[in-house]
Amino acid sequence: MEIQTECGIPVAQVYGPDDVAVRDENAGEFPFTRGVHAEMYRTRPWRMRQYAGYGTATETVERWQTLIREGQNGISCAFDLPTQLGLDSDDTEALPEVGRLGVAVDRLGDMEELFAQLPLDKVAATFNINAPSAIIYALFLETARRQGADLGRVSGTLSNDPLVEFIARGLWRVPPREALRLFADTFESSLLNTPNFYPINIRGCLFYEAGASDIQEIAFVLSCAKEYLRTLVDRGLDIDVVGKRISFMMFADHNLLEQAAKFRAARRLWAQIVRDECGAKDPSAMKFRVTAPVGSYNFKIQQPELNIVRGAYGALAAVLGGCQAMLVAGFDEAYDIPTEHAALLALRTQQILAEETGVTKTVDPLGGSYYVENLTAEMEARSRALIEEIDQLGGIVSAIEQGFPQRAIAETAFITERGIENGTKRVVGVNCYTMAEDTASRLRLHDVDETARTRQLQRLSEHRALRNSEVAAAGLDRLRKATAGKENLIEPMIAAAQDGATLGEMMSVLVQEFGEYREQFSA
Amino acid sequence: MSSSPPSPPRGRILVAKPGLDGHDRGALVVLRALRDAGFEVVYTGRRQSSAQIVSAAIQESVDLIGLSILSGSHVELCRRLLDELANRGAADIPVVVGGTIRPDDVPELERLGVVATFPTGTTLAECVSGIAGVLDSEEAGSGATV
Repeated sequence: MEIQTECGIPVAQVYGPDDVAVRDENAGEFPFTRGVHAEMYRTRPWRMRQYAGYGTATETVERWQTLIREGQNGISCAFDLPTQLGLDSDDTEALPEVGRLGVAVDRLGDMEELFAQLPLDKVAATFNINAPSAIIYALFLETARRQGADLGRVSGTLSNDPLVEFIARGLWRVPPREALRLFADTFESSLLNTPNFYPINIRGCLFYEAGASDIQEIAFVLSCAKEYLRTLVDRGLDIDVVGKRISFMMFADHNLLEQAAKFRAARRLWAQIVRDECGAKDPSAMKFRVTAPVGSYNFKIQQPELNIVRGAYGALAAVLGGCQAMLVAGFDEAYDIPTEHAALLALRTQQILAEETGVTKTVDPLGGSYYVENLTAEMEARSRALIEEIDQLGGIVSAIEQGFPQRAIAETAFITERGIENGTKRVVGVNCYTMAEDTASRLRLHDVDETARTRQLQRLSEHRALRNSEVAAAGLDRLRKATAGKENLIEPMIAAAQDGATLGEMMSVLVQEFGEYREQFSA
Repeated sequence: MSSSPPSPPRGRILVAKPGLDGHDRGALVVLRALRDAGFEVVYTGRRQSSAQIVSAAIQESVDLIGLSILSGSHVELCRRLLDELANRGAADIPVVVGGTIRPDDVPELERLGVVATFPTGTTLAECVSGIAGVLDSEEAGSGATV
């Protein structure tokens, strides 16, 4: 039976010089196959930034402080589902989910509290939020201004990636084309105000977690990226400026060699797209800067401590792939958000990798491997073909409207699941080496604090009671008027927030003016 | 060429995603497995309120409702749904739940009236046979009204 990579590429028994086309490629130089920087980890490791947040700002800050004290670089903010949808905590549909999977943010005061002890010109902040990302950026910028932070030194990332929601995660509000306007407003405002911040982080990893193959992940993420670039250039922004502020997130599975090839192929492909299709001249605008999440769907409920091992291999894959930043899920990920113990273990996984394994001593250590170079080229070719298919459909937005990426991902997900169930894809503890008395019974899980929701609702209700409702309404009205034109909406959002408008109220204005997306599923 | 008449469906199932969670990988994979196993499946799509789910269940005359929830809020969401079913006189439709369900939540779900739970790690085969089992016992349990 033929041996294949996870994404279906046949794997030969052995590879030799005839399997590789010799290329003259250097790290830090176009097309960046070997790495976006010449020195990579020799000067400093990747940024270690664990995704964290739950309850109200109070608990979240505590977890962040622990992680920073234990060696993390900056913070990565997990917002709860209502916040990710731009719903206030007291919305009927929001109530069951307030503070459950992330921190609840309803207003400027919540954002200020999150960063009260963390000066934004010294601590990098990453935010994973898409539908209301413009509003979150507005709150973030205003928080930085109120801190008196040196805005030129504010760093971090905002995902601000609405297209991924339509394809793979379902946390949308306004329709795609309107969402692109909000994306572009946010990007432009960030270029002007926080020039060292990355106002987009295109989430290929979410395609992977939804079931996409490595090839689909590369092709869909680069197709989305092209759409974002086109939107910005259509506004009159310079490709050589915007290219430097694009960043990506690609999943690092623990099949090491294939993942290393995936990252290398993505870098090579993206550089060529930005230069040849988008006309960039500055090589720095062609870099595929990438964060790698490890874990998630690959972490299983059976014998959960095995996920620590999977996490270590996945982290190694990410580093062999040349990532700029990494987050590793807690080993209890299949059950709930991580306990402090699990979060720290995940951080230590990265630290051991950086300090003890020696893989950081040279750049792209797998470069020159006959297998990895062959696989890189093969993945590049297959991904390019799928990108062309999407181009034929009229680009990624058109493809989304036709259900193309959604169906492709669902199909791959089903094939993967079948493979696990019929044992062709072997997963330890799941379909082989299972234990009648699984160790999971001894697992201690995250303590869900039922009072968090009550406390958040209290804050929100106090805020509504204390603010001047007329002033808040006027602020929202000014935002509404601004949506009719081409004015950048970030400053009107900041003004509305200063007037006391909440996240949910601002999002409602946007939805009223731009419409609410309706899923056209054909499941 | 003769062809035998298609076998009647084994049951009609509504797969629904209540609440705000948008991850539909599990729901899509399960609904495909159910269809392959001979069930009729209607999918509500994402972000459904209890009212929407119950309306769909009644309108589609389903035999069972399968909820997919990965946000950890399954107890509250199930409570809302079962209340809504009762209020609409549809409490006879059995409800099963799949997703990220902590073991210590299962007794509470059962107490609320959820008939079966399929936590992460449940195989598709187990989902299908579990659901078939629920429908068989519902049929067996219902009085014969000829």
